[in-house]
Amino acid sequence: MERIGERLIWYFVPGTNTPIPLGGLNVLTIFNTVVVMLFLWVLLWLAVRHRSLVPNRGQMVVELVVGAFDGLVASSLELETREANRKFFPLICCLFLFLLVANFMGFPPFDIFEEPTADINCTLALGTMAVALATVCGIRAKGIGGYTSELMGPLWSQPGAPMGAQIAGKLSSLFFFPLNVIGELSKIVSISFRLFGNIIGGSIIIIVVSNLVYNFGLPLGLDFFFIFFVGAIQAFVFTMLTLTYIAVAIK
Amino acid sequence: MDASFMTVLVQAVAAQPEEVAATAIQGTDLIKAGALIGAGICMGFGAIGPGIGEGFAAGKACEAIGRSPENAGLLTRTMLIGQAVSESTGIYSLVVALVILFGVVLGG
Repeated sequence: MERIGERLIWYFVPGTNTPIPLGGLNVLTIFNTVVVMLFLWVLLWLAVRHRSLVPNRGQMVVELVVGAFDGLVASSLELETREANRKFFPLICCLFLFLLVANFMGFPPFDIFEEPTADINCTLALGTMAVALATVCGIRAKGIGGYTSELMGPLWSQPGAPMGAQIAGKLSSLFFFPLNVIGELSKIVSISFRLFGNIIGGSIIIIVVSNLVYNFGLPLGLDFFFIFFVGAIQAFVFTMLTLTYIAVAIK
Repeated sequence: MDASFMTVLVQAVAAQPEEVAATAIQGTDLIKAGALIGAGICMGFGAIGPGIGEGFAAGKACEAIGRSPENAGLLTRTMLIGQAVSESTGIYSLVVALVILFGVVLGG
């Protein structure tokens, strides 16, 4: 029970006295991320090893997932060409599969397997990536001028207005600009804390109930709700929100 | 059981200090008590909003499914996504409560 909020961190290179820079290394998070990556590699490689026109079972499942996310990306971004949608599709599908398996990592009953997403560093990195990607895509789609004028608020550019209204509009950006910047930054916090809180909250509830009932039966049922149901939904929500941020930025 | 053993036992019992655990309340105890109460309040009040919001979403989804049962799959999916998003304020209060609990109480 005392270990609930703790993660294993290496402050020194093992076996030596050399300190690890930047305040240490979250070993288990990195290890589990690599495990998730290898698992997905092996699974997908096994599934699509023998591709054919009439798919076998593994290819069928992968085609189902890929087709579903292709449709999702196309219907969310609403770009003209299929190729433009295909530019974002690998990221979205990959993000979903990674988060899905990462959220399921709490299920194997070994100490070394724990959810990488129960570490705030992992979710913050993913959230930063999502928002930075949306910002870059927005700048690419609208140009640096269009993007900044969007940051400056709705009254920044009003062509044809009288001089006084224009000056007032420019002055109003003093109010809107910090608001919009904070709004962009709070996207990172919101998207990453949502995933982190859901996953670690579920694991804490499982630990507490396991201690109350002496690990008898009930924790397995809780596993299926808090790990599989909530994990799948949160993986999908994170992916959908990333897609929505990108769609809002490039429209 | 001979007399010498009884003597030793009685002496040992009599040698106990009368007030064993009457230590004074320290300032850190007050901080811990305040942190625990704060975590409880934070989680309790933070759970109100998401509870109401998710119930509202579920009720509306039930109405919509009753009106058009053929769209039940899409409605359920959209409802779950919306609920997971509106849950996030409750999750923030959970994170704050966890920070209070594990940062202040257990961390010292």
